Amino acid sequence: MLILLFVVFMVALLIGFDVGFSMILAALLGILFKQDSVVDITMMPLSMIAGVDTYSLVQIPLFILAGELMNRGGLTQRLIDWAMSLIGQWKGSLGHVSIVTNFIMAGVSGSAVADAVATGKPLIPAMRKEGYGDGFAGAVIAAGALLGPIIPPSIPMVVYAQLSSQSVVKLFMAGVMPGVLLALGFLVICSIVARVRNYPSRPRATTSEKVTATRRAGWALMMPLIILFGIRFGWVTDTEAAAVAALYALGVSLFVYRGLKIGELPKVLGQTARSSAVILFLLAAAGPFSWLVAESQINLHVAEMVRQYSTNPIVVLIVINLFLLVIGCIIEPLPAMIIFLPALIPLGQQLGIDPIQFGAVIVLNLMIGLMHPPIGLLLFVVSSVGKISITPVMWQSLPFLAWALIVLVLTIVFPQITTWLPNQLH
Amino acid sequence: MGLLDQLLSKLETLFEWFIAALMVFLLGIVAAMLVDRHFITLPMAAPDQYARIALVWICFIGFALAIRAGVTIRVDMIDSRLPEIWRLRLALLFDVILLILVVVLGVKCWPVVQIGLDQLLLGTEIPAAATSGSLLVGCLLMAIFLAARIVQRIRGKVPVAFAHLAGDNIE
Repeated sequence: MLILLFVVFMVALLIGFDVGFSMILAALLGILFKQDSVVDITMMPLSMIAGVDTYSLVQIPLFILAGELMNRGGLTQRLIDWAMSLIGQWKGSLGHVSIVTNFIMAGVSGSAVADAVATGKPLIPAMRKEGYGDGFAGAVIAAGALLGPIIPPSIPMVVYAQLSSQSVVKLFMAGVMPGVLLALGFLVICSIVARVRNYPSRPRATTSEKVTATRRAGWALMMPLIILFGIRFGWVTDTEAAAVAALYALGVSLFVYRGLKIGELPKVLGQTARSSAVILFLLAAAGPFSWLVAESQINLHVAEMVRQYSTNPIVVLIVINLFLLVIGCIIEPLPAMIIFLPALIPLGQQLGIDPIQFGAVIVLNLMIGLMHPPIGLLLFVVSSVGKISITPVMWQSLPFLAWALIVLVLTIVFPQITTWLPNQLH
Repeated sequence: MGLLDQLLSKLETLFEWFIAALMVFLLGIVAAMLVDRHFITLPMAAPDQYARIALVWICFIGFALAIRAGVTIRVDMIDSRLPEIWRLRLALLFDVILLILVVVLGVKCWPVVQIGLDQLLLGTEIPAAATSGSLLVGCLLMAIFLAARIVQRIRGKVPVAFAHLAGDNIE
């Protein structure tokens, strides 16, 4: 019966019913048709509230606010100018600038879509103007934005931490090395493509121009450092780091760069709260849905099924990753995490996989889904922001996608990539 | 703009200001905790409880506003390929099911709120109903927005699709 409910749930999901309410509907039907014992429906509101009534989740709206303020306050544009002054002389430099700017922004916002919009607006038209081709212009922005949820802070990492009861800080640190590897590979791809297609370079900036650009971007460059070192050395907790980032972005946007007016603040705050609510509601809906998962013992079935293939943790991780890559073709990352992690986390634990490595691998895997068809959200975002056709963007994304998959395999085979840095924390 | 639209619009604006104020409160309370730990001791008892209350209100009221704006998360792989008339019917059916679910949740939340009136949140003088009340008010707001949208759909005044994934600052 409960398996049938999962089928109902998946059908509801795929035909376009709201994701959160699909979970609530499945849990409600599970309670109503439960035969062996009686469960009161009051359990549903109780578990929904419990799903979000957690202090560590406070950082989700605060990090979203920091990213939003950064984009509206002119910090992003200054980062682009700064990266341009440093590496503008490289062949096809606008591609490199996109990756570097996104890398730094990833240290503040933790949101791929916000980063893609912020960097895509100025850089896609600039790349098209210099003859980069629509597809590559979109693909390089999508690849750069992919770094957002991998490099700390990361909203999906916070969600994973909540679902698996792991340390948010350790998960944040686990994302650093995969993020750096991704960025380095993306830069190499940009260089190769630029040489093959003979993309233009810009005149080398003079030292005084570089100094001026660095000074102008100084406040923005400080943000990721404040967050990373603040958390790493215990000056602030992860949640406090989010508040510091938001207050810092607010102060710089209002009083230093003056890109934001006080009158715009209520709208920014309202939109941030609404965007945050969409994520938080998924976590609320996951409360009763987790009960359904536990009742149906689907995690045990999945564990048993996977164990039939192998009990080798690496093989199991590869099987899980293949499964999630397929899931990533249909469902977006956060809902996929919330739906499948209650079944997958116990499996990882039973097989002795390091929970931090497991979390980093799963987040990386599902974020790759943002870049691959048919529902790669970043592909849609960049084609919408840059007003370009999605098909060439998809084709030009393939080298970046391939590198992201290689990094995923590396993080599976070499756990140290994700566990070394978190293990340095005491 | 009809009277119903005007009322809904005012309600939406009111709650948008409310959640914007909650964001300010959230930012303030977390920053105060940092100040309290490193600099001056502030006269606050259990500030994390206040942050949690603000968070649950942002969640449920914010989600009601997201429903109003049609920006909740859904998979549109199949329905985006359906003919217009089928998408219209499906959208109407989804709204009706959503409304039923919201009403069930709201009704079942009421006893939780009542019990919460007699309990206090740990370390505060605030009743636990301050937390559970968020879901009740959120459900009420969702029900109003959904009922209005169903009426508007029947009258043919609402576009077929919800905007896809506008809770888009997510990943």
